[in-house]
Amino acid sequence: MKRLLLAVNLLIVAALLLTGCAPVDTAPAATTMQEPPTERQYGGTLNFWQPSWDGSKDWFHHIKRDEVTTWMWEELFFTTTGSFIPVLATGYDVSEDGLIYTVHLREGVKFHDGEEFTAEDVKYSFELKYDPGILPPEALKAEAERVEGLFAYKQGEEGADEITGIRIVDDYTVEFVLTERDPSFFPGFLGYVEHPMMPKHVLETLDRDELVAGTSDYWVTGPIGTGPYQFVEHVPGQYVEYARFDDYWGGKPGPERVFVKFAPIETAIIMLEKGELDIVWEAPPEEAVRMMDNPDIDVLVADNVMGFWIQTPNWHAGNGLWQNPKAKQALLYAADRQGFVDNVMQGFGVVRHSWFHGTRFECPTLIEFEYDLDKAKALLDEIGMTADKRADYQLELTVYPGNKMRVDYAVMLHEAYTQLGFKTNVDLIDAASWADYRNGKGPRGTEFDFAIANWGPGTNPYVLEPYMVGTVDLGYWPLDVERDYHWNEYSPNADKAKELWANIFAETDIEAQTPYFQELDCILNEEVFIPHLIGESWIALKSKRLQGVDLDLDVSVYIVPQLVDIANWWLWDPDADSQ
Amino acid sequence: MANDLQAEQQLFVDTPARRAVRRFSRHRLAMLGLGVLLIMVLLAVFAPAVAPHSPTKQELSLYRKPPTQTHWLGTDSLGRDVFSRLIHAGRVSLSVGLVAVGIYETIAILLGAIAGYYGSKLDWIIMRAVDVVMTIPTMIVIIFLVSILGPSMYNSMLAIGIMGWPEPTRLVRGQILSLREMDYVTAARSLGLPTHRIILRHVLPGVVAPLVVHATFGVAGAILLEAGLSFLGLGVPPPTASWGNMMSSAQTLNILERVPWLWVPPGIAIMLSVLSINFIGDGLRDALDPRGMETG
Repeated sequence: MKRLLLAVNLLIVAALLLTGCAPVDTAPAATTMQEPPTERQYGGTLNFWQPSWDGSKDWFHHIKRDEVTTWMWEELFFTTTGSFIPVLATGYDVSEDGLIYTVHLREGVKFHDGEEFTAEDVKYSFELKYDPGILPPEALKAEAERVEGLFAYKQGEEGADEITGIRIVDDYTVEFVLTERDPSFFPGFLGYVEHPMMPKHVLETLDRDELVAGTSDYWVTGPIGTGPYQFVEHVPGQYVEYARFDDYWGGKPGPERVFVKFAPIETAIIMLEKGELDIVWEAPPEEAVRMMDNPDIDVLVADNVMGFWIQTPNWHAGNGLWQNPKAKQALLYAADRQGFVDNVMQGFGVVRHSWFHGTRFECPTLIEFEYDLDKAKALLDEIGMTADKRADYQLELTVYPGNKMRVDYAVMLHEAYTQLGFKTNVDLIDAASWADYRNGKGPRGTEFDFAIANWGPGTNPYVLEPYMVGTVDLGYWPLDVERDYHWNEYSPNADKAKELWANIFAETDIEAQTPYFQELDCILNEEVFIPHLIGESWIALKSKRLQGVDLDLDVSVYIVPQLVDIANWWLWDPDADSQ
Repeated sequence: MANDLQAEQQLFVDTPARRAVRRFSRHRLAMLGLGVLLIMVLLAVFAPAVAPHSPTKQELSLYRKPPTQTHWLGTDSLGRDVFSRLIHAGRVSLSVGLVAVGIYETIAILLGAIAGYYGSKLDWIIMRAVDVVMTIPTMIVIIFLVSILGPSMYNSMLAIGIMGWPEPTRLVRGQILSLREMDYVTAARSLGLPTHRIILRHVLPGVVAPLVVHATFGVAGAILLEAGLSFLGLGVPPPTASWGNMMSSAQTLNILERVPWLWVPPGIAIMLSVLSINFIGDGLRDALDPRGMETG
């Protein structure tokens, strides 16, 4: 009996091993395609991917353009670095004093119910977004204080029943009155992705309290917008279905239907190979490499210069050790970032040497922190962090396990810093606890040296200004008011940076601002402001049948980049579509 | 002459321990398991001497190289030698298994002895606690504990250790309930021996055999639990290698299909260790069972 059991066990083991080694059956459903036609074709079902979406309870918290809602809701603009792509607005003017932004709306835009989109909808949409019943005023204070009367409205002050700073000039013109001159107003507010336009004529007939509380049936059963597709159905946890909106202002979209399907990335890639999805994004590099052998899949790659991995310091660790630029430079020299990009990331990344590296604002005399362990040690010795002191120093790195490659990066840093002579430890913190840790409320204490995270200027190059002039605490890790850290109080370049920001803010033209940004980038580069590591490339995998996709990564880091042009997407050979 | 005879007779006295050893040694699967486990333990103990490379040394240019003469089991995503990591990982995985079981068997002996010997209210309280803990999904609680304490080898040991005690506690209690009614225990009580002495010297030795068998299976279970935790990123944190966190790299189709040397070796190590320990457990159960028939 025991022999029989042993034999069965061994057979099972052998079978498992063979199964594991065998190629997974991921053969595409369709046969290999030829070259696509150049003319757009109409019809078919486009299957889009989304890892998960917590909008199952109410759509309302998604009053923003995200990967799910972008098919039906649109904003005034897409912001690019220093410019924009017009959407529901055709352009804007800024008054000479920089206080009034006049937005010109596109004419002939229709909502999905056939009603025309006008300036009334713009004002209504902003007033709904900033309704006092949604999010506490303090949470939106910084952005709400930009527009005249907006913060008072948000706070629900008596008599403030509208946003006085948003003025309707005529059906197709709206003015935004600012409280003070602010060139970041466009990228940080007007062109921000979280301001989609809503139909006033529909929403004003509904119960405002329910609407604001997110309990209105409207959000679940029939939200409408101006986008190329109209809502059909949302099956929580499975998919959202859209139908083509034939009267779309940008012309008739290609596919007749769109399904946004929810699945983990690993499953999504298999679905793509089987023809159940047409596009998957943020794919792991190794999957991109694998897909390059698949004739039915296109691999789309773009360097992401707008967001990157950073190594956020705890400014107070080691008696302010990481406030010293040379200490941070040493850490950059100690890590073989290029080796990591070339090997582990398989080339799908860019080593960052400064905050604006790779953009028009890059420092012309950029210092490149190439891998040089001896130089790293010499820099640390120079600031008194000698080998014996390093041997006594416990350097704590934290990273959350969501991004496997970033965890590998932390492990590489562990080895690099160990080579420097530090006692190094890597602590994995789950994503859900991340915010608590950042706020100093983590259950395991907060005394870390660095947190490996993701940040970047996005399309708003002005985002660093408050941190550098000292109006905002850079204490970040942990956010402890009694241990705040203002960069301008310590940096010898603080006055220069303040002057540069003043020069930038004095100009409204991006060309005129560029030289100042470049000088600023030189300071950020030399000081290693917040150690910038690697820009991870955006990788999208798409089926050959999906055409018209054009990556444009200058648009925003907050949204999936290729979604800028979804109205131009079309399916090759749509009649062959089985759904 | 008489002394020699006496000595020879003593040598061949068939004590229960000798019988157990003999029975165990005739259990082929158990001996096979013992052999394999012994090799694994020796490799783990002497890992620094045996491993051809450092388990943490990275060479990024050797990214996921297949097995070669220099790197017998290939290299991983950071260019580290998989074989060296595998045998160093054995240290972690085996010690997590042993310590975790050590923790919960100790708790079990303590609580089981109290419940079984004293009975009454203490027994009721302890057994209800056992019932409650047994209804809680172990893995969820372990994940919860580890996320509070932080992922580390010691915390994994602790978390697994403090969740495993109910079952052996029942076992110990059951054994003691019958042992305490034995005549020799009654005699010890009549002689006025202190209770702790009765429990320690006269009752607990009777529990050892079933407990050892249980512990053997427990070690295998703990190794699997640790592997699961590490696979989820909640076990032993990087760069320390454990079989579980080595397997956690196999989370993409690409690795499953094209880089089997990253996940097959730790998978086999887990399988072999668990299988060996289970065989040993089987052997011990047969060998220590007083009702067992002499097989040879």
